[in-house]
Amino acid sequence: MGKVLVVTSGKGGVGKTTSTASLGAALAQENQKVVVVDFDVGLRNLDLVMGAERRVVFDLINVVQGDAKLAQALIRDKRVETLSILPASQTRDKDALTADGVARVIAELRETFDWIVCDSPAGIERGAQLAMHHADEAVVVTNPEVSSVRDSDRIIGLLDSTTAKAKAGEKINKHLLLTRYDAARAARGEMLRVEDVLEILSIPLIGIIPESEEVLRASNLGAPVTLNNPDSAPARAYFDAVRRLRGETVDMNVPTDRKGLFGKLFKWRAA
Amino acid sequence: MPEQTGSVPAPNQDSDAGRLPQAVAVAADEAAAQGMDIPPPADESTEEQSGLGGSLAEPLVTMPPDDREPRPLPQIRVRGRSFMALVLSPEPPLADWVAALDLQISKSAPFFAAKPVILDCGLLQADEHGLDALVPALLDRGIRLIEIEGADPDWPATAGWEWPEGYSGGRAIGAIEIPEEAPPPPPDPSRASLVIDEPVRSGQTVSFPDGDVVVLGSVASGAEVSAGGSVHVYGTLRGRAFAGVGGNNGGRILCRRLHAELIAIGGLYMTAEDLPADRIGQSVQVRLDGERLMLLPLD
Repeated sequence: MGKVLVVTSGKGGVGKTTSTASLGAALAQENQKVVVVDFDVGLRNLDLVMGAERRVVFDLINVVQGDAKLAQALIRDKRVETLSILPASQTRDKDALTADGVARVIAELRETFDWIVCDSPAGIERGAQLAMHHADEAVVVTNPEVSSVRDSDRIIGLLDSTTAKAKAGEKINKHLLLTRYDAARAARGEMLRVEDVLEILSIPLIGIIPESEEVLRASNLGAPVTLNNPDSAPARAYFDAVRRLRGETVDMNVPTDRKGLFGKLFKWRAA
Repeated sequence: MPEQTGSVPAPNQDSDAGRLPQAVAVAADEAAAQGMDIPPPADESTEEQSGLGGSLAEPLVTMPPDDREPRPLPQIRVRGRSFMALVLSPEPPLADWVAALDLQISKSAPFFAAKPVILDCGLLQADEHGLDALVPALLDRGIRLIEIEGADPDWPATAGWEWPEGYSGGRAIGAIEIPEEAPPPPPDPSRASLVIDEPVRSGQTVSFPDGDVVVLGSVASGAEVSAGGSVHVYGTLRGRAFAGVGGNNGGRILCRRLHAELIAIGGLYMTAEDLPADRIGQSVQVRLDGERLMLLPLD
């Protein structure tokens, strides 16, 4: 049985899709069987970031509505054999997703894959709710600024109340992924500090992704940063995050691109 | 009703009127409307008392005129206000009617509360069985009678009744639908406080009108906690906290770190902008002191 991991944030533009692609690819690079699923129906991007946009024939909506078989819609990544993508439809909207259909697709994916990584749309409405509904684990992507932190807090509340696990009285594992972190700006007080974000959200920290041009470069090339430049600072941060996700203990630090100069060693593992 | 004066009946004032500075004037308005004597404001001591508004603990005292120089007296302002009185018309047999009334009250408990009621005995005979117990039965149920019609104090059965000072006339406006609402379940003593083990997240609302709310984590910006009693937050209070909802002015707000968007006790509130700077980020207890929120350090 595979694990369902939702990547969510509430706020848009904080790096959900980039993180979905990078975490998914990093998991696959560690020989896990991974599928990344784009729930952002109508505004699909994951296929672009994964470099699969020209190979999309069927999509999630076709499968949910029974017009295509799951195997027809899955696109296997050309670089990593164990990585697949299930794209969203660009022409439909989120109302085309049905709860039953999503449940069926997720159940089917669980049988084939070790990890089902769901890229949630922004917001707290139907699309986001359906994306998180079957999750076993959640990665909450947050930028170190107040509006993102507040929206993440809202999403954590929903994860604890509206998901299938929460309704069954179980706990969903929540992890905080801090993205676009700039240590220098945080030190100058222009960004929230890591301690502040952790204090507000009080969920365990799974990784700090430094602000880096590498991420944008990789996205424009249609490759997750962990595939495009595995030695870059953000890629290393994503690899560390994936190891923590799999239960390993890894010291928390912010990787930097400057040679020989490692980021400050952070002490927090959990909130 | 602390603002009620000795000579002025003020049956219809709701308790909120006590919060308004013109509370005393309201009582006087009614007296004027009913053609009763208004005690003349005689000297400063009286005026000073009336300036206290709702916190008057003693009846307004009319001072005897003194022998100082006569001063121009203030103008008496008179405004009209009308209240709707309910008319109850008991039917024989009275035992059944009282039972039906009890059933109705159980379905819509607050309906008769604080409403003036006129008892119309037009359907009843002077020798009706159980008539002597009717008015005591109504008073027992908290019904406030302002007038009894269709009965006579000279009847043997009604002689023992408490006859209210009468109102008469009025305009009949027909039957009134009694809204049915389930009576609130009695508060369970074991749940006199609600303990939340987790942070209260943005967008979440915790409401516990029957007692205290204790939050072991933080209350996020955009979250709301309201309690009939006090609100205790062992983390940081960043959202809104309402204590003493339902009018319990003894409710307090206690938090380990104060960064609240809004705090309120018994309806009196303070926004983040009004919080004193030296209390922000501190351990604070907030309580109501008269009409003022007091923020006291906890340490």
